[in-house]
Amino acid sequence: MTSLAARKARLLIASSLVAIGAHHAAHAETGTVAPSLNGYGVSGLIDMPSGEMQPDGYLTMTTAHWGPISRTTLTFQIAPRMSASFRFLGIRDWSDCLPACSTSTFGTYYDRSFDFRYQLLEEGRYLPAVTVGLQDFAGTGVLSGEYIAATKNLTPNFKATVGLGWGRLGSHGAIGAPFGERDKIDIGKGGKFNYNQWFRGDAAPFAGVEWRATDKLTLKAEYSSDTYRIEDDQRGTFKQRSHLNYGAEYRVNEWFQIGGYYMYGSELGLTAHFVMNPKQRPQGSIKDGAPDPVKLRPSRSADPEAYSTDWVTQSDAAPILIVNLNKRLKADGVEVEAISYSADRAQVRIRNKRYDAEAQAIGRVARAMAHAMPESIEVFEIVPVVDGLPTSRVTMRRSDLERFENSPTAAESMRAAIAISDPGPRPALTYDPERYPDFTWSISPYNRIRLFDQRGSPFKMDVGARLAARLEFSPGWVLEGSAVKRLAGNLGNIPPTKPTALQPVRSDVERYDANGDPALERLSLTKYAYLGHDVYGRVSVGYLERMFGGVSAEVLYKPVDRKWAIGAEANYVAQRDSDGLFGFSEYDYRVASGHISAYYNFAPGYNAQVDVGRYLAGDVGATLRLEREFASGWRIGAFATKTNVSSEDFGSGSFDKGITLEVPLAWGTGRPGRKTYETTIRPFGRDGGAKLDVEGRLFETLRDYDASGIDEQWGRFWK
Amino acid sequence: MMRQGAFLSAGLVSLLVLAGCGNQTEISPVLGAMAGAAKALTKGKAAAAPAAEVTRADLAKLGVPVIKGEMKSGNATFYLVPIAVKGNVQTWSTSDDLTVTFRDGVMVETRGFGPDIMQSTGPSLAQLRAGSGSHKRSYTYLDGGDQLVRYSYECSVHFAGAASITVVAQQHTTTRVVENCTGKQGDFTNEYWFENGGKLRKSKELLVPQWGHLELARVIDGG
Repeated sequence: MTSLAARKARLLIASSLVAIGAHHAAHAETGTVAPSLNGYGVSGLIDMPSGEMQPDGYLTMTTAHWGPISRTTLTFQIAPRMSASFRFLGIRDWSDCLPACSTSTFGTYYDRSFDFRYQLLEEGRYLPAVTVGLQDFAGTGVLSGEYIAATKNLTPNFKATVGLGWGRLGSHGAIGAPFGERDKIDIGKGGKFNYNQWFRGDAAPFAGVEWRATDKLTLKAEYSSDTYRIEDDQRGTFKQRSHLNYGAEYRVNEWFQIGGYYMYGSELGLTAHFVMNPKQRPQGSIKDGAPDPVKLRPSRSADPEAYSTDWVTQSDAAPILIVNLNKRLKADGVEVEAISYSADRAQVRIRNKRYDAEAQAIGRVARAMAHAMPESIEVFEIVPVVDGLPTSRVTMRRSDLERFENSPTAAESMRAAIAISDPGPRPALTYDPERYPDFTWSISPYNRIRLFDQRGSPFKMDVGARLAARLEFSPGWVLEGSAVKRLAGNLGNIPPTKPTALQPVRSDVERYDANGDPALERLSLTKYAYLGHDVYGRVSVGYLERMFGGVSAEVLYKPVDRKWAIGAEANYVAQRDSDGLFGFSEYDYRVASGHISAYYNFAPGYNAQVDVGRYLAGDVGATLRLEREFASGWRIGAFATKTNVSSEDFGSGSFDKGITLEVPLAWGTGRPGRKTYETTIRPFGRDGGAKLDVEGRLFETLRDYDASGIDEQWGRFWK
Repeated sequence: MMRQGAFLSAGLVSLLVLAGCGNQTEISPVLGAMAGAAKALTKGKAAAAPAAEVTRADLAKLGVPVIKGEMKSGNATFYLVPIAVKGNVQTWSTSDDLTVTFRDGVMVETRGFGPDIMQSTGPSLAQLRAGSGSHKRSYTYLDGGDQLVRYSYECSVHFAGAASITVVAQQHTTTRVVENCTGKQGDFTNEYWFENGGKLRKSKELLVPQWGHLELARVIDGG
């Protein structure tokens, strides 16, 4: 390549290509429309389910309101034929006694429920789609019902569903009890699977039709087999006058639909459906500035002098190379923190501060090396570093980079030509003095949400400001902290203390919310170290999280090209005062906790993690965590922890469980970025099975840069 | 990475309330949009006024070859200058990091547009200039989940007569060649305007079906 004088001219005229908006999104329009959702937030009609499934990976949120009933449901399509839902239910005008009483007061009944659906049969030319579902299959079971539903598209715009329901879905027009009687639910503390209830008792048929009148408008009608015995007969929340429901749904776009309904001959209803596809960013491919083309070297025969290796002995070669590389990489948000080299081989250690796709960071660094490295260097080694830890090593030949750029098979050919391996032995590195100490800080808004609080509103929130700072003063030594100040919200009141048989390691969170204003969330010193041979270590000391401070140590064995990893963590911590300051006297509680953890990627995109050990309340047990991970960076998972704490001692929910969600901001913005938003939803937050919430756990730190983390977005190497 | 360790914290709502100021490189889209809106307000009408027309003289002053690009679907105009030559492959760039790469003058890759052509196979310039015959084409894009997707087409080429075209206030007598392509992702037509000497003066080449074509007019030729 000849670098032309035109490079300068490039700066003279700006293009006007700013007008391109999201409406030009280039996501593949398949032409098929995702099946509609019902008021329970699962694929279905109005109040009845259908035999269909949402497309694989879809995450939907439905909020449905009619008469006294409000349901908000999060549904995840775990796999093409399997979905799970989590729902929050509120029923207003709930009489506090049976109709027998003469005077009665009314309140709102709140409950949470889980559903699971499995598709037995996909729709064929003649056969319908058939799904079996468990609605509210655990716990108090107010919504409990099971069903088998079949749906067939009769014309491209018209489909019909028939089904058979049990439980509340078998409460009207029963045709008998094919699998025997349904016993009363033994609720206890909830959280148990009611498997001896499933498909027992009366079964009743339901049916419905759906007509897509236009691309935007769908009309629905159904016959419901739910008699609303509790809501109508027992609690008098509304009067059911018919079993026919009618509705019209309007599809604003692929991601948002609304519906209006006439329910059970007496009530009007409204729903809104929000649809997200973690597999595809709504705006399509990431938009990012073009990279510099790879610079070609002159051939060795044409210019043998260019290949001289005299520079190796030049004393200031390393600092010059680092400066030149960092100049090129500045716009890419990637930094070279250290290099090492010989006459024909160079290693750079990089920090990727910008690219959600690790492959793209590596691609940009490779190009910068092609520009900045002396011609004699033929082998490039790129080692991404996080928190001072070398995570993996990508090795390539410079001549492959020169050869495959612009090839019709550039991505495949380059992938075949690189090697991803462990970081290897530490070479003699020259560090960029500019990179240390590395100080970052931010002031940002924060919010803290409390769901399912049954005293007053089920949705409470504080908003405020968070000051965070991080100082990496030498490789792997990190001092970091954050503090918050509430500006507004309703988490300020401390509700009456709930009796707990355990140390209130988590259930006192309300005290921390209320008293800790302002609060020091964390202030800790951490040392990360690569111990060699795929073994990593971490030691953290200080105020490790909102409720605990102390010391935490961890080791992890994680081969870069394996599907598994194994680690161990040991902590000795004391419970912090609820005022969020520096003391430990309020609770005077110390505990040693720790786990052995195993991580396994059991199928592409599906991860499992098992932790066995001692938890914060001193209880002993195990946690199983299952997670679906998408190339876009979305992670959706569920976990459950069972320890030697009895259901009675644990309290509502019987054991700790929840849902985790991690959403990369880049998915929403369509621009490169590494920020993610993480959240955990627990139906019941109690003290059993609670883990220390320490920052910087090794597996999370390293996973993006292992072979599969790089491969799943490999296409962005050349972006 | 933000970690919300709060005990009972949740809500997609929170996606809207993220990040603020500091020396960290990313800012939240919400704040970004607000900053953008504020900027537009302070700039007032000037920001909304159309950019002044770029004349041939302006371009000639640069002293380098220039291609004027237009994307009708984005209502966008941009100017490309060559930044790299590698055998018969040339990469041209705008000032704000949009690049188009040509093999023998035929567009083969783009970067910076968003739904870029990451790699492709297609006809040579000579095949197109011949004005007859058929060939295969393929474009490889990155989808919204960073997976490479390949669109394949069967194409045929034919002459569509003489055409007089105007490129930035200069008339050119050309022969128009049309390339019709059909594939699973739909059909499209590329157009090429060749001068007598075989110089490709102007072309209209597909970027991606959802966005349509880039129109590329070779305004200032190389020396």
